[in-house]
Amino acid sequence: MTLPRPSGPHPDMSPCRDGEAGGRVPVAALQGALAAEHAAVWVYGVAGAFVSSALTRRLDEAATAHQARRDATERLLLDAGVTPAPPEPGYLSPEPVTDAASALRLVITAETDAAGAWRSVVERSPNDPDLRGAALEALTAAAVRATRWRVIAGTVPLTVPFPGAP
Amino acid sequence: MALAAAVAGAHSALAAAANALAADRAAHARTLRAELHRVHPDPVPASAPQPAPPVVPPPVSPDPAAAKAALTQAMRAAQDEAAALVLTLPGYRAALLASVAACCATHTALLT
Repeated sequence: MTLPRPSGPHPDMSPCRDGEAGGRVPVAALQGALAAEHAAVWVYGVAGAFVSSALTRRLDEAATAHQARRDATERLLLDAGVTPAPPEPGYLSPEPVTDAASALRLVITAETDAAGAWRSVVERSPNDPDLRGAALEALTAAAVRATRWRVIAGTVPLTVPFPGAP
Repeated sequence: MALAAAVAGAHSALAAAANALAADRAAHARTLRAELHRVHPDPVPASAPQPAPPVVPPPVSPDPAAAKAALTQAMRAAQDEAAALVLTLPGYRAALLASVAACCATHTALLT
């Protein structure tokens, strides 16, 4: 997991409207997904400095996908009358990123975190097929990217049976 | 997944991908069975256990490209089936099926 440097409230501690009567948007789960997208955007920025230029296009595509997901999630929260959580001022990588191998491990971690966060949105959006569909799409995209990075990193197994599961 | 096992046996170049796929699909089947059992415990009275139906290996094309295409098609169908259920099931089961759909997509990505 990519840990935010300690500061500000953790997404789980923000006001939770999940399950509130009339509230259709699972705010805590969406803020969690937004936090994962902020972290992923940061991670891809860091990784770009360590991987070979042959992978630059793939990294850029992944970063663009996370930026788009981040922006869409912010819009969803704003539309629900909720202030989207900003990115953390800094992030702690679980291990120092010093070369291509550790950079790839970090992006796989970021995709794994994103898959987990979007799976939570699926779980907590029972009355909103549109949001569920979008969350499923985000979970699937993160899982596929994680698998593609594992291929490049030579990490086995290449797949997990339940992407996003805790 | 019987097709994946049959493909793995018939085409050594596809064996690694097909065996990984079979292992993940077996995990899906186990977990979904357990979940069904949790929701509907013991739907059948505990009588004599039913004998397992004989497993008939599905036909596998001798052409590796065709066998790979069949496996890909099966994964896409499984992904679609799980994804459709995600939209209708209650929370925990929807999340489970969402992971199943995502996993199927990862195998499709490896095969194509």
